[in-house]
Amino acid sequence: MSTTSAARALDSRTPSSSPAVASRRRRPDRGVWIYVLPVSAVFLFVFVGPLIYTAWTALHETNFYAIGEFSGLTSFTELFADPNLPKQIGTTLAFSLGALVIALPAGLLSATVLNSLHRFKRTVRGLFLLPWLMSQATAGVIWLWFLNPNFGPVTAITTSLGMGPTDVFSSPTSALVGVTLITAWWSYPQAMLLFLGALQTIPGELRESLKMDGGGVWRGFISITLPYLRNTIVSVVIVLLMLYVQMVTIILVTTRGGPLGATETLSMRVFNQTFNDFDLSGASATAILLFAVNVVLTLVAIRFRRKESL
Amino acid sequence: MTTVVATRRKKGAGLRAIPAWIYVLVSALLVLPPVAWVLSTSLKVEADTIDFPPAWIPDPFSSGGYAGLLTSTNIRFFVNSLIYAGGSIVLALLICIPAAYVATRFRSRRMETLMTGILVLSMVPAIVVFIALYSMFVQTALINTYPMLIVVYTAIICGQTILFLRNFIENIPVEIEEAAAIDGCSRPQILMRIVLPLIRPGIAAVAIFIFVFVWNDFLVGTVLATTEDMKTVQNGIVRYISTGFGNFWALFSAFVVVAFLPVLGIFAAFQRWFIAGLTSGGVKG
Amino acid sequence: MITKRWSYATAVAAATAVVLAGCSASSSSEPSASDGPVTLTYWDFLDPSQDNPRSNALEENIANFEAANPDITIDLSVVSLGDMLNRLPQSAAAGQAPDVFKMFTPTVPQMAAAGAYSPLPEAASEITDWLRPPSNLVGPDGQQVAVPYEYRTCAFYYNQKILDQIGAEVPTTYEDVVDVAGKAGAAGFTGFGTGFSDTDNSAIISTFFDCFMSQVGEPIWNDDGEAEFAGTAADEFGQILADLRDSGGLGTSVVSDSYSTVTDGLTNGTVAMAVLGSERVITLTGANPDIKWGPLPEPTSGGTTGATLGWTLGIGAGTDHTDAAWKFIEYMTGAEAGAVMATGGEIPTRASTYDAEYFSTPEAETVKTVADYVESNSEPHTYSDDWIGVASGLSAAGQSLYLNKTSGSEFITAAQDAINE
Repeated sequence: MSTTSAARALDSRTPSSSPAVASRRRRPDRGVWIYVLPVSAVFLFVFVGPLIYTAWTALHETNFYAIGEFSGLTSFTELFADPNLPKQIGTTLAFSLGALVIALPAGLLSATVLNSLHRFKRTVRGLFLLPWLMSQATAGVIWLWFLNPNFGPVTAITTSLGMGPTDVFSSPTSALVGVTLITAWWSYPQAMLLFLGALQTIPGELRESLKMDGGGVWRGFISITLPYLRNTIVSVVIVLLMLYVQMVTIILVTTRGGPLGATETLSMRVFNQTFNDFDLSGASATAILLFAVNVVLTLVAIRFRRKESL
Repeated sequence: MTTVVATRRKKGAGLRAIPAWIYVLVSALLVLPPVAWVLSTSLKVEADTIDFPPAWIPDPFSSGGYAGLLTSTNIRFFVNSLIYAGGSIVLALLICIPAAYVATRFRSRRMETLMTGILVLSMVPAIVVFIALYSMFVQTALINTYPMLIVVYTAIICGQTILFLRNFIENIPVEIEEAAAIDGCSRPQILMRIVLPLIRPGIAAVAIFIFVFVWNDFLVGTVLATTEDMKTVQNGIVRYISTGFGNFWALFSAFVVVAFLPVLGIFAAFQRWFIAGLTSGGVKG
Repeated sequence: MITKRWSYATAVAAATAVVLAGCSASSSSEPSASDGPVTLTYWDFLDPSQDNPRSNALEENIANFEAANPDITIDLSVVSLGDMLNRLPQSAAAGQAPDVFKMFTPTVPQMAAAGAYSPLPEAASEITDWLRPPSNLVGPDGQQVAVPYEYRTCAFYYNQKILDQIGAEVPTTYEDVVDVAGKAGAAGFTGFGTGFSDTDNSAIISTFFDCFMSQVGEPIWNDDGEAEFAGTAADEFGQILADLRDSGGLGTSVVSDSYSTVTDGLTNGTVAMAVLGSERVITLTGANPDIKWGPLPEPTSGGTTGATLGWTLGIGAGTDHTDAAWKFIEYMTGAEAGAVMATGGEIPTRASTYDAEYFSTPEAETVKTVADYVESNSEPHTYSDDWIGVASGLSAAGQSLYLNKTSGSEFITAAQDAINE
């Protein structure tokens, strides 16, 4: 409703008979805000409101989803006193950095290979992109089924080799490695796309000198491509890290944070605290912590972006 | 002389491509087996899905998994995802195009601050806002409704949509708009009659992007749709393995395949726009 | 010119209208409080659109009820148990609870404490022929909130072929089970199928524990509602699990195994023995003729009587249609519907149902056997208001038992601590 009247108000303030250029110079700047009003309203509703609500919840006691007495910073002191927290931060780091260490080079390599191909380019691109075209939920569950310790083909192979069934999700270390690899598998195409975009902007002369340089592909890659992509690499690192720190779906559909909490990252902790423990206050405190981590990453991203445009 | 050089180069290129093809082969070995396995399972009769050692080729072939998908609940999942995706595309374009337009054409310090704010907010971890939204609205009639989920999807995708559209609008020469203004076009008219037609490819790319995003999302449906009849396709997939009532591996696999088809189809049909959208939108985002 | 100028505004108006229409469309499906035709919202985990005997029976029953009561329409929402447990308390607080919902016995008091139920009407107390007393389906005030819809208890399943192959007798005590499981494990099978996964609300380990506590006759909670079972006959439960682990009788994937993976394992002949609900008798024996079943093995002190479990029906908080809701529940638990659900392999809960003609046919043989088994081998016991906590405490302690090699008594203590946390 309000949008309609806003548009009407905008129109009535636009006398179509007046000299357009002159009026454009004078009025821009109240009318302009009408155009960003809907977006701002949606963001207030979906992001700003909930963030304030989260902070509010963290400062109160909760019973199920009802907010109770003001409790100050209790949920934060509880959060930082929680012996599980250091372990979960460690898990988050291992998961994020682990996936990054795989997805970043895989993405770069895939982009480079794709860029160097002359035949079957579309097919190979489709192949490389396949994991990412799937949803996170699909990626998680198809690996879950593929690695099934009882009926899965991987178990069949390892059993026939005398190594016994493959049982990725039953021990803490292998479960963490498993979800990390699945996440890297799903996300490397995203890195690849970003690199692909950047590789296409490498100036022709540079490419030529790359080709002419008899020293080989590898040296060309190290001495020309890599320095040229330096900025892109930084932004890919940030994009991927944000993705990993926020990851819930893949962990949720494979391990739910288990076994023994080995795959419970901070994001999973927020989810489990809300829907398993019904501890909304605690979940909100964790959410604020997670938000803080994200703000740091975002600030780095913005800072970097400014630099890039300079 | 020239031919010699050309052949030598070609030969060299062919040899040089060998490591690349080895890489492609390794990738194929890492990417395809789980996909092939799901495809194979989807064509088995239910009892064969838990045979051990497993068979890669279904024997006998069965379309029972696919036929069994035609239940009203499953169809509802697909319809819901279509509604969420369609609604989000319409709403996102409706609110993002004007915003992207003024953000490109009427730059001011305040506008930049607002745009940065929107961008920063879109990077807030989704799980944080979902949980707050869930607990805020669980006691109201808003939760578990199409409008609610559509608005949430739209908000999540908005930051990137605006960035992407800005790239397109930037490429329109300002002179065209100025000429139109001199002809007496108002700002909404300029947007509707000049800018919109010119950024049509961008709009198409954004629409595809939003569709794939909404179709593939699991978390919004998990948290904010609270009954089965409002859940999404991705919830439908996971439902088969999380309920714990008997084994439905063939049905599950068939569902996975069918749920992937729309995205695959869109990718195949619009590959160029898709890639263009993802690469350019992504670098800036 | 003017029309063009308005086009943007019109577009916005149209969009707003779409959104508003969406709002009103979804709220119009809310049941109205008026007399005349009523629509009952009903939550069930079964999807009647699926083609299996249980779903078909449910579909048939609902259709029959609607035909007999033309002024009542059943609007069924399929909600998984996990979602129900999460959402019922919230929906109830928001006044959006379903009119009728199905709930699993041990979680009925928890949902009642969370305010999800309306009290049952007077008429409910007129039904007295339940095969097992429904005294545990109560709210915090001790008032009954739900009636049994379907019965089950735990049964001991074993694969006769595997036992023959390793030359073992059918075990009758848990001590024997550990022994045989070790042998089966050495022969490459999963000796005793259980699982510590918490993905399905820890269904398999919590059901096993529930029945074991009935067997040894120990309550799980003290009078204050705190879990208190460590240091009692319950310790044997932990000891059995630890012994199974040490003898190699547990599967290597026990940490991530769940109710359905163990069922799958029994079906395809990789699991030698398991304790599962009696509701699996028909499907398991049908899918694999080597699978036999019988009463639970005996603990060192105690009997073979497990807990009476099953699905129940109750009326949601804040409903405007208590009478219609009760009519529906009465029908669904009555003789006519009972005979239909028995064709789907479920065990009706009222003695009068078994007078129906169907139960004298040969097809009803297994259902009757299981019903007799439930009646003779199970006893309802009371639950406190946190069964979810018990279940997840058990699976966490189980993971620790297997992965960290904790002892049986540590398992019991860890579970108890996790529940009381």
